[in-house]
Formats: sequence, structure tokens, C-alpha cells
Amino acid sequence: MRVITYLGFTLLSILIQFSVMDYIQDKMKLEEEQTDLNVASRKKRFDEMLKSFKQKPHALYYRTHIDSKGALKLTPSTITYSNISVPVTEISTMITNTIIEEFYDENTSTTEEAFTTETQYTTTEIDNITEITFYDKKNKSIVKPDIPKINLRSKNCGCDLLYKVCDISCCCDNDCTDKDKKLFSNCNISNSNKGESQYLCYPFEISRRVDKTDLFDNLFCIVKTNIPDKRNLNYDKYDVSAADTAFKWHKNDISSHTEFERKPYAYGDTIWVLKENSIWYIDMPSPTVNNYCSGRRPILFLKEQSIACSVHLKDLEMLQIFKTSQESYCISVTEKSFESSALNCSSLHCTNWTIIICDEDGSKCADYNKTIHEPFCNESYCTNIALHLEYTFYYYDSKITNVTIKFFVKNIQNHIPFMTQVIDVRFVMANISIDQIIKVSGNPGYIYGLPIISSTAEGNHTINFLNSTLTKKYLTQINNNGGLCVTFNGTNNFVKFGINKRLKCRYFYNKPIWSKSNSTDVCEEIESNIKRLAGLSETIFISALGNPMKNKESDWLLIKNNVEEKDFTYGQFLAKNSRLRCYNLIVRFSYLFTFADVSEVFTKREDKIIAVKIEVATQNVTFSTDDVSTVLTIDTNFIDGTKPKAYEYAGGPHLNIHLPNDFFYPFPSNANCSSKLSVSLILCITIYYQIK
Amino acid sequence: MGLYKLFSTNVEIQYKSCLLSKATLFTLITTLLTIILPFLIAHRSRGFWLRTHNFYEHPVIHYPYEYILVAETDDPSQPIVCSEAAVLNQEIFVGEENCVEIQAQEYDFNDDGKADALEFNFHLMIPQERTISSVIAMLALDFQLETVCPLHMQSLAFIQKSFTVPPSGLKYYGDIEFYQTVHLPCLRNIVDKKYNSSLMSYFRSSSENIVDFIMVNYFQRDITTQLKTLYSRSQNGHTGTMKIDLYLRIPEMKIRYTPNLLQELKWAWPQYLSLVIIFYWIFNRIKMFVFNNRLLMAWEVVPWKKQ
Repeated sequence: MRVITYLGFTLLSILIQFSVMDYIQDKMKLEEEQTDLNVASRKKRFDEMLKSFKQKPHALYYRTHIDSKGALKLTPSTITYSNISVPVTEISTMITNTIIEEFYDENTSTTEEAFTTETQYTTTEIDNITEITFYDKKNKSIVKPDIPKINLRSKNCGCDLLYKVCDISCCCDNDCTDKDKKLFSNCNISNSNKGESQYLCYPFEISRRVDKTDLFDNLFCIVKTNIPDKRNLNYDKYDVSAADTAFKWHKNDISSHTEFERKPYAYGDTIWVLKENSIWYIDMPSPTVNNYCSGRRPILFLKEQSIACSVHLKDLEMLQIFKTSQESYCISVTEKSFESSALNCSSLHCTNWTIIICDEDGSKCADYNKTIHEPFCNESYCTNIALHLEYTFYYYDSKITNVTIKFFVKNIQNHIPFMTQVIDVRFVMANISIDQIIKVSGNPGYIYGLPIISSTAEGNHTINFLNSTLTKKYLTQINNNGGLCVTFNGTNNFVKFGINKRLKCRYFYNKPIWSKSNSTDVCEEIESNIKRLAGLSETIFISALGNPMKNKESDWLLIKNNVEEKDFTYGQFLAKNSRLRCYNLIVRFSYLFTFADVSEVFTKREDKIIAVKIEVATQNVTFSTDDVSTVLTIDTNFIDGTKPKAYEYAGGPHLNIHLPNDFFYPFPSNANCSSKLSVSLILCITIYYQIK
Repeated sequence: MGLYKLFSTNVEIQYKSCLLSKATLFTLITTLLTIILPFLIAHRSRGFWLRTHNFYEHPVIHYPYEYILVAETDDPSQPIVCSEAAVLNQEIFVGEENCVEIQAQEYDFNDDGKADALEFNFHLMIPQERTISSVIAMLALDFQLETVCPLHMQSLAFIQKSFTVPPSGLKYYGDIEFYQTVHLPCLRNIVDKKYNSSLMSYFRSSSENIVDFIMVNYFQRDITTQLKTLYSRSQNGHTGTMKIDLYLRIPEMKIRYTPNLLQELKWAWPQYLSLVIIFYWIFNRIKMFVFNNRLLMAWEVVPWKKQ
């Protein structure tokens, strides 16, 4: 018995030893297989996720890996790079070239994202690249591309919303020159310290998702390094510097109104005007502790603001602006200014104010003409009152080239004591008018609150969108203006992404309803008018992505509606023709947008519209002779169709454990019958000893 | 080399007696006392049975797009009514276009699939020569508990605000709270749908007004949601329009429920057991003393002595 026990133990130990050695030897090979598995499983997962969208996943992510893997296959030694003595052969330089091009030129943005996500296979990629730099050091002929020079984010720059125009504070925008970027306060970090910037995790990402404090998401994100030095013990009994650290009454008046300096504008500077040979800054009203425009704040360079506050008629900002614009010039300091000590328009660059008067809806704009556009009041009404005004500063070639103030005027009732005035300040870093600049609604997915891009063209929608002469670029809805249903191409009417809203307004039919003898004809005409107002009579396509340049032609979705399915509209005169009853009249429109996050990384959303339709609902409406009107309801719903994140756990490791070939030396394992023989032989011996 | 005690076992000495004897009676009484006394003590010291228990859960709250907003003007004949409720469908309101715009958003900040906040924006147009004197907003909520006590109900967020001077806006920030007057029955795997019918679609037979009707019906419920006002502010100054911004957070909520039998037993068992061990030891000592000293008549069976 004892012999058998020893034999058993010995056998077991040998078995363990061999299998473990075998496993270690095969480890490299196994890891490679493991990455393959991961890629496949991940790809499978994304395929499943995107199956409903019928769109191929963003290919960039996989291509890096597949390409680099394909390149690696060229040489048998690529699995283990670590040996420095690897000869720099022609083949290897070729590989490094390929990999570098693939990696830096196309896919760097994706790999940056991969740093923060947990994907396993990217680590192998990074390993490969690190090894390649070793080659690089040896072989001077291969120049590693300088990372900051190639714009890594250009393909996925979330804040690049203006087409061919520099976006303010958008560091990854290719349209901005280096000079422009120096103006932005947030880009300075990356300029001054290139080394550290790569550790910042999505510093300027525009995303409506609130940052999560997930341990693993921010694992490599160094926020602060202020480790206290605990070894430094302080034996002093009195803390002399206590006064510096204790809380006390503030001695500095925190007012940021700066004095005029002879320097070019930088981000956040006040904008200066020259008035009667002295220099002032321009400001605008702002609410302070309540909603009244009681305070004033300076307009700051490149800071876009929007202020809404209530005022009395006498305090209206438009009246102030008329005065200021006539007396002063907006100035910018140029190189010429340094040569002269005088402060006038010969040394500084002066710009006149351009005042434009527009209708309330932004249409019919004209230059200000005092005789026509002078605001005045009678007993019940005030005309030409601008409750909404918009400053636009054009900055180009290091100076403010134009300042335009748009007044959106309307008539208001005199009896209402207060009114809400809205002031927008916008900056454009281009030499073209703001109206000609094409603005997209996200890059590439839609951003919450930005308008839905639409096209009424038959085909080539993207080209049509970029054609700046076309005015209607965004999807509009009916709006309520003083209770009435109106439609115009203005910001208020745009359907904005992600905003669920219901709008009600009253539709008036202007013509007398008795002009037609047939009541059904009248009802049909009323309905067709409503349909035209709602835009149901035209074919409208909308862009699935916020940036239509990223759209394929199939990504322009046709807005479907169910008007055809509704019941037949007919009318009936009631009560001796004093009333008209219309049956099945369309009074409700419901816009249904279904969108989904198609982003491949978890840190950023890429919302893509996957379906859109307008559903109409009908009602039987009775009109009276003196009031042919009905209330229309316009609903907008955005439904998130993103499937909840499904976590797929990787299967257990596939341990490829097997005994070495010569383990059963006398009975070679490749011969099937003999291996069986050897096993049975051992069994026989064991049984024999057991019986004994 | 010293020897170590590695293991020890007891030798059992048996005491035998016939059924009808003092010794049997004594053993019976002590055994019963060992069982009953710990129970009495545990029970008398209170808290033996678990009558109530609670847990915390972040509920799933959705907005089912049903609402009633009544902005009363200084003239009671001209209120502004914005609504989407079946209970109001028969009613005809004048001036529906005064409810210019309503926005409703659900925010999920942490991407866990549950809304963390709801935001509602109402934009009203005030009829000429009228001013707003008070606002009542009733917003329907679809409320679901999923973990311990499955529950699905239709509840309300009720906001009432009066204005002393004509307002132009109202900003309201509050938390949605779960309010219960009774414990939840909490049956496992059975979703409690007692209140899963919308108040906005009740059939109204009484003649009282809709706001009171909903308020009374909601008041009669055992389980409701209520709003805890954190901050609210009204903007003074009549501008002819009014903006109402309601921002409701959905925090984790504490929910009380009646535990089931198994949970009660699980709670009672350790209390009982810890006392039983002490009593068992005490009575064992007593028995040992009684039988060892032959205070009661019994035959002693010692294994190494032949009978």
C-alpha cells in the first residue's frame, strides 16, 4: 500500500510540474489568442447593440488592431519585441512605418479614449507602440510623428460646431489658428505643457452627461498632486503665520473692472470703446438679486452670454444703445498702437457700430433709420420696442472688425408695467456675416438643446446643407406668438434636440366661411391650411447626426406622418348656418423622435436619431360665425432608444494544458492505441497492487 | 519530550429511574424550564418579534405626461388651465392658447437607467388686464419600487403657491418624498398595484371641483408621494407672461414594511438561542449537583462498572 501511495504522489507531482511548465511556456501564445477572443466578443457585442440601427460600427476602433495585427504577422519575431538586440532589418522598418501611420494618423483619437476605458486589447497595442519607439531611437531615419502637430481630435471634435469657422474655446477645432487658440484660456494648458496634457481625461468635452466619479473611469486621471509632507514635524509652539491662514474680513474688493491697457484683446478682457477721446468699457444690464435689470456687467471678449431680465419701459437697454452708438467707437489695440502714445482712431483700430432693426421673428432686417425706426408710444401701444437685442462682435486679423447690434422690434401694450428684455452677446472669429456661417448641432452626435438639422431637397442633402444661400437648415415648428399660431424661420421655432415640449396656440381662419356653399370644402380648406402651417405638406428630411457632414445619404431620415391614415374630413352647417362643425379635423401634431447613443466609448455620448415621425390626431370642432379659430397642440417627444448597457463577462481562461510529447516516453502519445494502452497498463498495475 | 493534550472526550454516566418517580419529574421540570424560561425572558424584554423593518431604495419614477396646472388670476372667472388629464376631458376651457409651452425632461445623471431629477417648465401668457394670484400644479408620476417590496403606483407631485404681488415667474426646487401612513405589506414577487390607477383619470361623480376632487382622493390613500420644498422663489413684476420652472429631485427613499414570518423567525432565533445556552448550562449544573449527591433516587450507570 505504502508503495502505491508514494507512486501516486510522485505521479501527481510530475503531472503538476509538467502542466505548469507547459502553461508558462505557452503563455505568450495564449495571450495573443486571448486578445483575439476579446476583439471578437467586443465586436460581437457592438454588432448586437447596433443591429437595430442597421449601421456598421465605427470602423476606426477595430481597424487599428486588425491592421497592426496584419502587419505584425509579416514577421515571426514580432510577438516578442523586448530584445534590444533585434536587428533593424528592412522588414521591421516597414512595419514600424505602417504601424505609426495607422496609429497616429487615423486612430489616435480612439486610442486616447481607450486609455480611459477598460478594454484589454488596447494595452497590447500600446505595448507594441512602446516597443516601436525603441526601434525608433536606433534608426534615425524613421521620424516618430509629433503628436500635437497632427490634430488627433479633428475627426471627433465634439465642440467643432461651426463649419469652416473657428469655434470659441474649442481647442480641437482645425479651423482655429494657433494664434486663435492662444486667446482661449482653456487651451493654454495643452500649449504650455504638452507632456501633461495627455493625462487629462477629456478636458474640453462637450457632453451633457455629468462626470462620474467612478474609480475605474478616472483611474489614470491625475487631478491634483498635493501629497502632504507628513514627516516634516513642526515643533514651534506659536504659529506666526496663523493670521494668513485664519478666516478674516476680506480686505480686497473683488471687482474685476480693469483699467485700460495697451495690449491686444485676450479671452475674458473687457471690450473698450472710445468716447470723446477717453476710453470706456461697454456693459449690458444684468439681474442681480432679483429679476429686475438692476445691475450692469461688462461685455467680455469672447465670452458669449445671454441675459434675460425685466425692466420698466424707461430703463430699456435699446434706448441707451442708441445714445452710445452715436457717440463712440469700439476700439482694438493693434501693433500700430504701440508706436503712438495718443489714444485716438489714428493709433487704435476703431469700428463703428452697425445697428440693424429686424422684425420680431428675425426676418425683414434693415439698417437703422431714425425717421422710420424711432420708438414712440401712444396711450395704449408702444411701437418699435426691442425687447430682444443681439450684439455680434466680429473678430478677425487680431482686431474687432465689426460690431453689429440687432434689435428685434415689436409693438407692446402700454399697460403692462414691466417687460422682459433678452440680450445676447455673440462673437464670430471670421470675416463673414454670422448669418452665412453654417452651424451644426453636434459633432458627430446631436448635442442636447441644439436644433435638428433638416433638408427639403430631393437629394444630396449634405451638399444642400452646406450651400449657404439656402436659408432653411433647421426643422421648425409652429410657435405661439401672442396666442396666435405663427411659423417663421427663427430660433424660437426650431425643434431642439432632447427637449420634450408641448405647445399650444390658436389658429385663425381668415376668410369668411360662408364664401363656399359646401361645408366639407370649407373644412378641407381649413385643414389644408393647418397642414401647410405645420409643414406637413412638404417632404422634409432630417439629419440623423448633429453633423450632417458625417451623414451618409441614408442617414437623412424622411419625416413620416400618419395623415393618410386619418378619417375623412367633412363638414356640416348647424343652427341655420350660424355654426360650422368640422368632423375629423387635425388639431394635434405629435413629433416623435427616437434616438440612441451610438458611441463606442462610455465617457461620451453620440446621439443619433434613428426614427422620426409626426402623428396627427383629429377632433370634431365647431366654429361660430364670428370666430373661426381653434387651438392647435404641437407635442415633441424625444425617446431614448439606447439599450441599457449589457455587461458581458469574458469566459474563463482557456488553459491549454497538455503533457509534453515525450511524457510517456516508451509509449509515444501521438499513437492513439498506445496511449490508451499506457493508461490501461497503469490502471492494471494500480489495481494489482491494491488487491495485493 | 513532554506530552500534549491533543484531544479529550467525556465518559457518560447515566442516571436511570422509572417513569413515575421524583427524579423523572425533576428532569421533566428542568427541561421544560430550559426551553420556556429563555423564551419568556426574550419576549418580556421587548423586541423579540420584528414588527417593522425598513430599507432604502432609489425608486423608478417616470413622468406619464399627465398634468393639471391651474393659474388663478385676480378674476376667478378667468383662470389659466393647462391640462392633459382624462378627468378634464369633458370640460371646455377658454383660452387654452394661454398655456404657450410646456417642457418636461427626465434627467439620469449617473446613467443607471433611473431618472434622478425631473424638470418642468411652463410658459404662460396672462390675459390682458389680469394678473396671476396663485398657482396649483398637479403632476402625475409613475412610481415603482423594484427591490424588496415590489410596488407600482400612480402618484402626484402637488405644488401650490400664492402670490401677494403679481408675479412674472416661479422657480421651485424640491425633493420627491415617499410618504406612507401604514406599513407596506411587502409580499415577495407580487407587485403591489393597489394604487396603480391614475388620479387624473378617475371618474368624477361628485359636484366638487376637479382640484378638490383629486386632492381628496389622493389624501385618502395610504401611500403617497409628496414634495419637500427645498427652495422656491417667485419673481415680482407683471410682465404679461409667466414662467414656472419646477425642478424635482428624486432621492433615495426610506420605505417601511411588515416583515414576513421567516424574517421574524430569523430575527428571534439568535435572541432565543443565546439565552437557551445559558439556561442549559445552569440547569445542567443543577442536575449534576442533584444526581451526583444522590438527592433524588436514581440508578447510576457507570460504563466501567459491571451492573
